[in-house]
Amino acid sequence: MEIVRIFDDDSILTVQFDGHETDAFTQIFIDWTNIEFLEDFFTKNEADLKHEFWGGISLEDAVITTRNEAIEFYDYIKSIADKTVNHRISLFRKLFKPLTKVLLQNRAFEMKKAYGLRTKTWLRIYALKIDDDMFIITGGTLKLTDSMYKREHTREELRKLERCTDYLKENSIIDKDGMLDYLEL
Amino acid sequence: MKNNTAKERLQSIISDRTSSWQDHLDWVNKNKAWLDKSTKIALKILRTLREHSISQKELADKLGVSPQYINKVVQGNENLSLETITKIEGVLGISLISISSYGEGQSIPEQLLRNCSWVLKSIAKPISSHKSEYHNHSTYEPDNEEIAA
Repeated sequence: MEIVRIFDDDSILTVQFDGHETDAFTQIFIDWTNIEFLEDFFTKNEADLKHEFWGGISLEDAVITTRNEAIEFYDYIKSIADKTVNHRISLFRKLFKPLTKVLLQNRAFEMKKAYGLRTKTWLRIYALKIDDDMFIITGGTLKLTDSMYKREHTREELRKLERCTDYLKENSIIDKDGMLDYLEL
Repeated sequence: MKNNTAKERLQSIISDRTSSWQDHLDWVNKNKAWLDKSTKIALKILRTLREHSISQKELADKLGVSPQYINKVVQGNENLSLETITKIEGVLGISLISISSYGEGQSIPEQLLRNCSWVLKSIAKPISSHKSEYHNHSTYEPDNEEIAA
């Protein structure tokens, strides 16, 4: 596993998992703008897409909307690249929210998730908060259900957060219990 | 380990490489105009393949192209030529693009109607001033042999 920068500074980072051709943050963009990937995803999860919460959106519209929203989201991330580091961090903190209250217990880091820019969206990006001004993005997915435990693709995102946490422990970035370093920060 | 913060320790292992997401985003934005179309074409091809249980390889074989090329097409990242689009339409029996044509159920733009109206009015005046001459032509009736010819 490798930690790489998203911008020129160390404020927002991402990971490149072993055996992966690209880093997690880039891979999310590639997947969300890949029509074959999206058509396959929504076909496999069509039952979830038909939930009344999503307002009866067709599979075809879901694919095109996801692609457009992904570009919108990454355009926004690019727009904050020009800001000062402090301003960027402030915007980033507003963008990310705690994953769940339950998951926050006994964690050195807060596991964060970023929502797409639109009010009703299934785009999710996951990150570890190392410090108030330091984040590691570990992955992202399209979340059509209320719980992350219900579907394999959302459970996989939880595992990525854990794998990244383990990596930080193995490299003595954080203590094994993870709490001490966090509190020190 | 206790002497440095987690942040400082993490900084020491950050790779020299930076994420390539901006390159991908820039490419998408630079080619947005045709990508907006190619993604919709890709989606229609994929839905048709799925509906008729046709594999990408079968489509590639029918078109005489490589499966890798078809895979690029269905990802939505290929700048397709009209020739390729027409071939795919023929093989799959679907329409991927349509061109509006006047006189085929499409309404004529208002500005064009106004322009036509102005032209007609401008030529109607000289016609009406030579009404008797044209009237003679309008009363001319060919015989049956001329119609057959």
